[in-house]
Amino acid sequence: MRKVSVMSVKKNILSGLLKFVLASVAIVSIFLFSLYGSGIALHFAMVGLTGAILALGLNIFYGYCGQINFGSAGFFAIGGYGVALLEKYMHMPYFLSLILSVAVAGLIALLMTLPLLRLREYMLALGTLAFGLAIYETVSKGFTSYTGGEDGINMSKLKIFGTPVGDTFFFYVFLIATLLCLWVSYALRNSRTGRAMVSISQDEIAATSLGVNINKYLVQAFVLSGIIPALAGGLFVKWTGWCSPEYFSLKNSILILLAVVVGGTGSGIGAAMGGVIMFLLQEILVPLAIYEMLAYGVILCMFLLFMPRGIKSGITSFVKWLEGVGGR
Amino acid sequence: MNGTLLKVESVSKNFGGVSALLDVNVSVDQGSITSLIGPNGAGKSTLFNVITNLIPLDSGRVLFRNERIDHLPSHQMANKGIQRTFQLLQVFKELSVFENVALGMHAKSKAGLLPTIFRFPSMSLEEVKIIEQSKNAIQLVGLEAQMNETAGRLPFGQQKLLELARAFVSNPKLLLLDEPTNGLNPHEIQMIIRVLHKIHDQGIDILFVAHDMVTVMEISDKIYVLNFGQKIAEGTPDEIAKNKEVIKAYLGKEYRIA
Repeated sequence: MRKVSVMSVKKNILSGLLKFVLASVAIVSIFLFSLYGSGIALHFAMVGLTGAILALGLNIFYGYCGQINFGSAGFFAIGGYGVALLEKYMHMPYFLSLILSVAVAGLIALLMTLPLLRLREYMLALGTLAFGLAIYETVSKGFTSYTGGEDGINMSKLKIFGTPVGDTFFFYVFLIATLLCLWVSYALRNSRTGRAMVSISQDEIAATSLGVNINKYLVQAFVLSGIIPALAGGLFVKWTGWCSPEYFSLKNSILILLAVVVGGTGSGIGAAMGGVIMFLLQEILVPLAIYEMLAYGVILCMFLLFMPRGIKSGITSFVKWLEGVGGR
Repeated sequence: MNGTLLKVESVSKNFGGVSALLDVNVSVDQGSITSLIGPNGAGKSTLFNVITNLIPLDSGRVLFRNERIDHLPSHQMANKGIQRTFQLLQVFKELSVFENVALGMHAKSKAGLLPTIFRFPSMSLEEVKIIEQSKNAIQLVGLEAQMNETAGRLPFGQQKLLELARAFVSNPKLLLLDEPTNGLNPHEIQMIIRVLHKIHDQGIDILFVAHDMVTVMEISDKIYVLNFGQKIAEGTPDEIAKNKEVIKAYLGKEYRIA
């Protein structure tokens, strides 16, 4: 017995030390990066973080509750256009318009649960797909005198106390938003509410018999999965300075879903990593033009074959293997 | 204090033309272990599903502590103090043993979305209570070494124990157990019986369905016998063992109580 406990203490110290070193390295490198990172590197970082936020939003509904949602880009659009329209027509201060857009997205998500949550599986996939498409078609082809149609809406530079802010400022805003969403994922997963959500993905009948009100938790999860992408949308369009419908196409909804699959369903960190990877890939794969979707297909197949539980699980088993080597 | 906890009054249920339950009356007294036996297809599991309203009844009433519950949504049964297990094991296979049992505390706790995200002190306190009570239940069924194991990886017998722990962790008034000993070896059955006695001593009353006659005879205070959706007998284990109709329908002529 004693031998085992000494070994486990050694292991604990080792993994604690590993975590501390990793965290310090991360903080220092983030700080240095924000100071000395080149324009293009910051650009990639922002795109990656946007992907992370989007994937974290979907992860609550898809990863935790196990319900498919192809409408993430729709909520992404509501956040983006909300901010853009409020600035253009109401001259509203940016952060106020951001809060308002996110709230509106939450309200729309709440209303959408009335028809959508009567559906499950393929039907739910089609229902949410229709929602995403409806939003996209509306902003790109309908009301063009307001939304600018395919041209989108140009936005002013963000000013804080009269001075325009640059990419470094946005980098920190994106980073904080990502950490907030990570916290929400983590806090949920280790709580009564999160456990109830995950139980729905496993077995609805058993969950019901334990007293889990399935509809209530699906509504909450869907609303969170609407609010979080809307936050990403509001941040993203202000940073790029251009609210364009092309950000919000069906391709992005699929990409967000892929991100959660690639990262590993059911884990916040996994989803965030998946989001970063898929959105950076999207930037890198631009030269492939029409073969881009084919590349995503290949990537998805590779993951399903070699890392079916996602990157998070892959890394976890690698770290376990490392710890095993270290403990010897 | 010796009243009736659960009362099923002339409940009927038809599936198409087949009557799965026909005018069934069953009651569970406070402080008792009651069992429900009968051949395959006698309507035992259907009765459980009707009591918990997973299947709505066609006619009749279900009363729990003198209050009608047959119109309540299934998820409110746990709030009332009724927990159940399933004939075909329904543990959450991809969750850990701890998380499974902690979910059993769902009805006994109430922290919502906002208290969770902002970690209100009330939520943290509640979580501590959930963790403590879950650990106790896990210890009672002897799974403390497997606490962080994924439930789906446990052997069948341990999954049965886990499902049992999940059902009684919240200290319900009534526990409905659908074949808790089915498919287990004699050693595991003894383990289950020990656990059942322990939780019964804690004041949890039990209604259970079983095929394993030895267990039924050993632990029941009262037995109901169903056949083709109808109640054909009720009584103490001794009375049931002597009942001619029961012997004919279910036990077979050769059956002797050990």
